Amino acid sequence: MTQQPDTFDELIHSPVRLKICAALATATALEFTAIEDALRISTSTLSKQLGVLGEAGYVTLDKRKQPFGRPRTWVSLTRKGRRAFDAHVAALRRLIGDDVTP
Amino acid sequence: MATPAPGVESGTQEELRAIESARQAAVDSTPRPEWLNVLFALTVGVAFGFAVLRTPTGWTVGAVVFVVGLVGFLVIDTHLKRRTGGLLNVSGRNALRFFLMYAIIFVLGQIQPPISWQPWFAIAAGLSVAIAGYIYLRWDAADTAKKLATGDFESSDLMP
Repeated sequence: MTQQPDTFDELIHSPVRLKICAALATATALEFTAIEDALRISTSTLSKQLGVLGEAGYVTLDKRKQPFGRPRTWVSLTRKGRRAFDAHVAALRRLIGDDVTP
Repeated sequence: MATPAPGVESGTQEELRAIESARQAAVDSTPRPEWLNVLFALTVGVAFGFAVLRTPTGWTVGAVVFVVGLVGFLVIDTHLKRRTGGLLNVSGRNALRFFLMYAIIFVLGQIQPPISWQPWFAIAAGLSVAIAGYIYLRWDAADTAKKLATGDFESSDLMP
């Protein structure tokens, strides 16, 4: 699916997925538990919503080894996901007549 | 453009507020721990303090402390890190901050105090560098956090 500029995205529109995308937009990757802590959502909810976003090709999950301790899962917005999120935010701004890009 | 219905507008504004607060929450929950900044600044200060003793032993110990401190900092930072993608801060304000910090190191490094001033000069110089380094790290981190939270950057600015 190719995103058009300023397109309202039904997939991102869901409140939890919207917050997940907004959080991920602040980084190249966020650690799984950091998203849980930031958004105060459960592991199961986050896993489920990341699954939906992953199926759409909006996010990727990557399990990485640490210098010590257990491996951790990192979540990133894909280029397609970032484009879709930016376009969704622009569409929201356009709706209220505020076209300034975030 | 047609004016949206009041319900639509308030819903949209609520959504935009949710986006802003999610961004802020993501940034707030992933800072580098303050103790790590303090530890790194102190390590650099101690290394500098040894170096300004201007003896071969001082130089060697200073270099070892600096290298070990830097490697330790990178390992611990990688382990504790909960985000990747910092911003390369190339603003004029940041350049000025860096210049101020570097000026302190440069000036203190040029002074050749009488032997009788040691070790107090080395201690004072090391402490000054540690404080300047810590202020720089905090200032830069606060600036970056503000930009990330408000979305005041291009996605290409995010470094891996």
